[in-house]
Parts: sequence; structure tokens; C-alpha cells
Amino acid sequence: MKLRMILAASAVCALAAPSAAMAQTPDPINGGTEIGGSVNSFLELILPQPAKGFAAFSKKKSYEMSFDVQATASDTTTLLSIADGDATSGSKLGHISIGSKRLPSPLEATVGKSAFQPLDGTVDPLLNKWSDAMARSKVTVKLRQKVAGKATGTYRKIVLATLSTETP
Amino acid sequence: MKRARSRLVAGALSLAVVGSATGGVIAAQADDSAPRAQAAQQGGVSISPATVEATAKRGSVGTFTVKNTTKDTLRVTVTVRPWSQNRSTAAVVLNKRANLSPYVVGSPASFDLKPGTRSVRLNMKRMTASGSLYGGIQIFAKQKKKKATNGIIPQYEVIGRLRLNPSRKRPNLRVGATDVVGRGNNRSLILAVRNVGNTLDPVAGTVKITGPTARNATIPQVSVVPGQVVYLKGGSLRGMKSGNYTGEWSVTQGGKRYTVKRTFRL
Repeated sequence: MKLRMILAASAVCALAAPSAAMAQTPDPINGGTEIGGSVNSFLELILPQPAKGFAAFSKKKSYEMSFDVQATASDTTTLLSIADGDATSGSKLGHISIGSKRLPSPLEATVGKSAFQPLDGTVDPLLNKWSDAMARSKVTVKLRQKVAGKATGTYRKIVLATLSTETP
Repeated sequence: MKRARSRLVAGALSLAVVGSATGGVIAAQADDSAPRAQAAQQGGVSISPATVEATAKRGSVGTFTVKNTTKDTLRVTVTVRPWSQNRSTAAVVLNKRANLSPYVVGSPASFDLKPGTRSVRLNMKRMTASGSLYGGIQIFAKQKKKKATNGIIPQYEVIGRLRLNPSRKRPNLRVGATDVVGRGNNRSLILAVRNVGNTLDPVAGTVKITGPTARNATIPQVSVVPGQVVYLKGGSLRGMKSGNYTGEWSVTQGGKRYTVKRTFRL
């Protein structure tokens, strides 16, 4: 009887021991050591410096140019907007100008196939929204200037490209 | 054997042809000087960390690094400005008409940056009355020597986050009116709340609608900047019958619960 009990107990132990050992076995991936780390949040905006474009308007037509913008963000929801870098208000806001002379139609911008947005509004045109982290994500910003007639002179406009976050 | 050798020769020949063709394409690209010149001039501005978070106190509250990856020297200006929050979407934009320079300034606030990095320290000059400060760090960079004086001249602006949390949190919300926005099947219920506390703790909760049709909804979590108003979304009203309704809102922020009843008509 005793022998039977000892045999039964040893059989139970033999069954239970491997499962307990299995539970204690460290994860084969991290070898029992916690793996982790922290990376600083990061924002990067890369712009080309187009040498020429929209300086002279020799005839009546709609002029277009484009440049690539690359953005990197480690956080979610990043916005790319574009604004007039010369003026924040007044009649020159969003208009390509030379001295006191300005083109009557505002400069317009877009990304992709969405409609062109003028730069003379009170709100800076939002061109692109990334809803996830990205690295050197490239978008092509298209600029358009409608010219009603020949415009003499050499025009200029500072364009401010902004990369920002959506959450406070 | 002969067939195998001929196959090898053919493969080598085809590789050579592909290689020469590729070389031709590259050469053609190299000859096309305009796009290549633009690519060579590419570079930008980066900041790390993009979020500076600390407990608000006088003195240094954090540092971040500005990096210039262009080939030119940039004139960099650092300004801390308040957020302006969209009531409907809760998205924030920098309020460029105001700045928080009486409270926080970058040191240095303006500097020339050659290709490379520079560390900027943020100093809190004065404590705010609420004990916290949330704003955007505006890093504006322009070429010191402009490549072009006419045409389109791009400049950089990167906006990071500054979160100076209070040493003692005081969550507080002022609950406003409810309203029905949208038309037809796109109608939804909203509740205006203003954050009159000093934390950025997310606001969430539930709404129980009673009337001709009953409905319960969960309010999506949203962070409200102290001092700003945001419309909490009480869910779609699609398919609900016309009549007078009561919405019982249960809103929580930082462990504090607010229960209000608001009536509306469909």
C-alpha cells in the first residue's frame, strides 16, 4: 500500500515538475533580461533651395513649379503647412511682389491631387498630414501663380514651410 | 556542356547590357544638371527631442538640439509661443501673434548655425499663476546668405512641444452648452468644455441620451490645453426620432468627475 502511494506521489511529481520548470524558463528572445530603451522624439524638415522659379512672368498664363519636401517625425500626427514668409497681414500677404508692386492673384500651393489653396488667407494652408511616425517621407509641393498679363520686373516671395505636431 | 556554357555566356552578356544601359541612364541623369543641382542643395533642420517635458520651476527646464544638415549657415530663432486649439478637432496650431517670452526663453534665442548641431537650453524666467505652461517651441531658420534674391525663397519652421507640468495638479473643467452639429445622417451631439485647471490630463467620459430614442455613447479621449475650449463628441444621432432629449454627460479628467444634464431637440 505504502509502495503504491509512493509510486503515485512520484508520478504526480514527475508530471508537475516539468510544467513548473517550463513556467520558470526564461523567454528565449530576451533571455530573462528586460530589453527596452527610449529614443528622443525627433522632427526634421528637409527643403531644397530652388535656384530659379517665379522670378519673371513674360506672358499671360498659369505658371507652376514644384519642390520636394522630406519630413521625419517620431510622434504620431504631423502636419506640413506653408505660409507667406514676407508678410503676416496686409495686401502683400500671399502675393508675389517687387517693391510696392504685387501680382493681383495670390500664390497658391497644394500637395498631390488636392485643390490649390491660396496663401493670402488668414489660416495657413495645410498641405499634408501624416498620421504615423515616418522617416524622410517625401511629398511634392506644387506652387501655382496665375498671371493675367505680362508682368515686368523680377519678383520674389519668401515661402515658409512649417512642420508641426497636432497634439499639445 | 556546350549548352550550359552558352547559357552562361548569354547571361554574362545580358548582365553587361543591363549594366551599360543603367550606366547610360545614370549618365543621362547626370547630364540633366538642373534636378541634380537641386538634389545636391537639399538639407534641412531637425530638433531632438521634439517634446521637452518637465515640472515647471524657475531656472533651466530642459534642453534640445537643433541640427543643420544643409551646406550653408542658417540664422536660427527660437521662440516659445502658446497653442491655439481648434474646438471641433482639438488640433493645436501655434498662435504666432503671441509669445511666452515673459515666462520661458531659449538660450541662445537667436544664433548662426553652421552645418552641425547646437544645444538650446530653455529657461523659465517667471512662474505662471497656474503653475504650469504648455506651448510650442518655434524654431525658425533661414539662410544667412541667400542663394537667390528673387523667385521663390523657402525658409524652415519646425515646431516642437513644451510641457511644463505643475508640481500640484488641479484638474478643473467648466462645462458649457450642448449642441447638435451637422445635418441629416451626419448629425452628432457635442458638449463644450473649457479647461480652467492647470493640467493637460485627457478628458473622457460617457453620455446617456434619453428621449423618444435612447442611446449611450463613449466620449473619445481628448487633451484640452488649459484655457482653451473643446467640443466633446457625444456620438452620432443618426436614426434618432424627432423630439426633446436629455443628455446626461459624465466627464472625467485626472480622476475628477463632472456629471451634467443638458437638453436638446431634434
